Amino acid sequence: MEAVSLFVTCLVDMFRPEAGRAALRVIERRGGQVNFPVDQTCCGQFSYNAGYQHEAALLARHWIEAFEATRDPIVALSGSCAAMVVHIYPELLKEDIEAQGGDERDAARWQARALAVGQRVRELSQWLLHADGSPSSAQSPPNGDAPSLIYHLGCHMRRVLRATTEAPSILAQSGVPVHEPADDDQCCGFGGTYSMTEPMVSTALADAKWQCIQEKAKEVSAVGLTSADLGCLLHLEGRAVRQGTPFPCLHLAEVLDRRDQGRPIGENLPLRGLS
Amino acid sequence: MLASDPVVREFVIRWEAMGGRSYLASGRDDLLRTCQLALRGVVWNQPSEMASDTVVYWNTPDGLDLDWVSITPDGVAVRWIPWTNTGEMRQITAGSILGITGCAWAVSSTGSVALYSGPKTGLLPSVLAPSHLILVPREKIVATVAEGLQRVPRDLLPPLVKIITGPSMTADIEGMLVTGVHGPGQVIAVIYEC
Amino acid sequence: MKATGTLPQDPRPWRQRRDAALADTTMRTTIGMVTRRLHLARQTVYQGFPTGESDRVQSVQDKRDAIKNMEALLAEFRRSVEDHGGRTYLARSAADAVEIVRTIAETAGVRRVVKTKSMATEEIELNPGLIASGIQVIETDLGEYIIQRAGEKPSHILAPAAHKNRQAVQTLFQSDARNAGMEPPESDDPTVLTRYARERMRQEFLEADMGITGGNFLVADTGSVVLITNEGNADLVTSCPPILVSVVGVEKLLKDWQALQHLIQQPAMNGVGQRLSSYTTIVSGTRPADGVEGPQDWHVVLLDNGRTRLLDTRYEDVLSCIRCGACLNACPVFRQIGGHAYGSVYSGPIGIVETPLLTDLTILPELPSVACTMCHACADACPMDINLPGHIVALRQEKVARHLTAQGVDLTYRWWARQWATPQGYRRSIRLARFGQRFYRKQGLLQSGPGLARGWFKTRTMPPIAEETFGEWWNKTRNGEGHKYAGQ
Repeated sequence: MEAVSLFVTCLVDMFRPEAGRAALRVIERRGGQVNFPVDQTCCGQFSYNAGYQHEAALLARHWIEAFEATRDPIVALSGSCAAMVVHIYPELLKEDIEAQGGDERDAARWQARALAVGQRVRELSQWLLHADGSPSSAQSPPNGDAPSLIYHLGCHMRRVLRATTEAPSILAQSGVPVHEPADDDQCCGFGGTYSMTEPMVSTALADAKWQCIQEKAKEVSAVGLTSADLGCLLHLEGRAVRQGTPFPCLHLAEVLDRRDQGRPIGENLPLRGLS
Repeated sequence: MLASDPVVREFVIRWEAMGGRSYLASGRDDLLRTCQLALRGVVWNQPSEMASDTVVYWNTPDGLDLDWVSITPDGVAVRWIPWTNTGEMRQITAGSILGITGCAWAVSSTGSVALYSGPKTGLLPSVLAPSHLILVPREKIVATVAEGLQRVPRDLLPPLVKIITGPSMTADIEGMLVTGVHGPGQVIAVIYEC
Repeated sequence: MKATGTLPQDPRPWRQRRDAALADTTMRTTIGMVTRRLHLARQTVYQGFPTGESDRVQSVQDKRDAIKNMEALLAEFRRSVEDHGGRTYLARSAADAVEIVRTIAETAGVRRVVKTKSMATEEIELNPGLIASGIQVIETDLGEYIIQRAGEKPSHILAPAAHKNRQAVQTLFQSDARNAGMEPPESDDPTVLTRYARERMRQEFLEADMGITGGNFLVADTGSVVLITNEGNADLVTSCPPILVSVVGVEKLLKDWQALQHLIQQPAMNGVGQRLSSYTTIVSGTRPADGVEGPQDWHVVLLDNGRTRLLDTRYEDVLSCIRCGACLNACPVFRQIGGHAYGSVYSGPIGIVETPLLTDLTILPELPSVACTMCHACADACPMDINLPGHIVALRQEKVARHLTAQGVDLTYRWWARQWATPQGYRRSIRLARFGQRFYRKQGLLQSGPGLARGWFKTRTMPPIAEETFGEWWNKTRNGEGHKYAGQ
């Protein structure tokens, strides 16, 4: 049994807690013993990307404190937030303390803490790929002539975390064929608060992404879209719903949980946006 | 044998990938015959609206003092003009159908040929005529651009050095590749050993 | 040195530039096609060509070293050029550079100039400066020729007319032919249009008094200006006219011939996915006394215009840009809005960094904020390993520090971070949002929202905050209870 700390991210916590519960079950079925550091809030990436370095640093320091109680691996339900902690925190904290006129030793200490906590962070599929053993409670039966899913790899997971193959591998192991759309390396347009401050460009990107997704989905008879990043999914889902063309969008954890329970992937896919 | 020489093969593959044409020739007679063949192709394929009969060539050892006039294809009138360092060469070259030059070196990994400007080695025949034929002796082919650049005499730099990799081309209209925009639309390399 | 630079800018505000771009479906289709093709070609060319990658890595080092030694290299370059019969000038500002070129032209009584594509001359607005002195300037790069006819600015570093389709080009050439007394192109076939341009420009090359080029690299130890084109126009511009002026940014300096060997293939590999461009021309001296080609008078104008200000700052790697355009082709935002929407001669990721940096955020300061989703595609594409995303974030920080952001937005971020930096504040804000969201809810979804969130709802819906967050659920069911499955 490996103990892990679960980092659900603020978006999963607030907008799709069911993905958090799904991840919990998926990890536990593979022998993980999950601890949820209850003080966790947000990694601060929204602030950081918008240029509010000090604000991001406040959140980063809180995040580190929340996760320092144990030395367990930290499983993140977002490739982007994992990348923030692993690759941005160390410099951010050092620079912020220097910018605030703090002393050098303090800056070095926070940088070291950030590096130490960063080494423990794994995005869900990264952790699963290296976790020993397959699901204990349920075996994924073959998906048969199961319909496939479209997989969207978020930009930070691709280029900052550099975790490009893990999620498709994990999905394949669970018997879910996934396909990446044309121009898969193009951003969906979410970009944190960029989606709010530049809605027109952000939406043009979402529309371009949907066009590629729909073309691929038609070609391979895919029934839904999945991603390890809920930010991208909420943005794409919200656009599709507003356009009156909803399409099931599931977090990676939700897909794996369904398969663990032996449910065919196409069964009762939620179209969240139509109630 | 040139055809089985890996360096030559690499050069030909790269040169043709960039849109150039190439011929191999072994020995003087073969070289003359090959140039004649290439010239015939240029004459036949020449668009009618720019009909011309002038060929400007470098009269240098690269040309092996070939008797160019002797390869004039039957039934074709060709004015053979050797490159000279004179003012009227500009208009003459601009009105020609073919420029024939040698080269200083060539590169197999990129399919390139390099020319140095000099009194006997003008660059205008390589750019003003709609077709350009380059004589490439086998021993002048090097593997990389870096090796070629190392051959440029640093203490006595030619005022202009030019590396040609394929025909003049543009993709400025809708990204569609069109050759012959300012320079030659056709570049022909004749690789030879004598 | 160290003066702030100036750049031309589109007077329209960002919203107007952006909306015009998003409404231009022809432009978006063409730009999308061109950038996608070039982006893929770049990725393909490195495969099976290991030298390309090792040269690139070496070049990054060479460029960084050159930046560190810029002042010494500049002096060495000037000496070398002057030893070979050329003249050099250091232009601290854009206006200085224009004045230098205009003086050269006027002194020599120049009437007609043929020009190659050059971002530096776009940057200093050289053409209007010369035209005002009664000098005719002909852009000879096909794309530049097209947009010069249209009276527009380039929309892409490498493909300036990428926003024009063939019908538009034919129309422009028809009226051009009438003015020049030539046969107009008989169709909109790009081959036919290109042949027309060849005929049209040929006499201009032969009769021009002066050629103007930019420069891809300057080699300090040999005093060489290196020009790369696919069309061959740089060959004609350097060979034919008796006077040659090259306007080149000081950051193009390389230490020596060996550095050139490493770098020479990179612009083509990264820009168009070729191992080398069709034409590489290296100018290292003037026409010999008995010669008929090459410049009799050769001038190199070295442009600072805000560049040396970046030395010894966190941004100095920006000066290693080789203008290959790879970041433009990779950028998702560029693919949607094209070059004009940026409003600067430098567009795309490098443009949103360089424009504010060269001008000390005095023009178009909105660029780093509005034209980047932080996707990092540019960082992967840049062959010179310029930290573009890092600089974009740093510029956003700079804007906050200089109060160039809206006060309301500043307050939102400050409040937000201070709330969420404690678990109590986080939970409090969720309760508050849950209460507030009832006013924005329709059919189970949020359809509108306040403040910063308003932008989202212009085009998208959002699920409401869950009745029970994950944290609330955990506290209720799991806290201190050991581990069992829940909600199966």
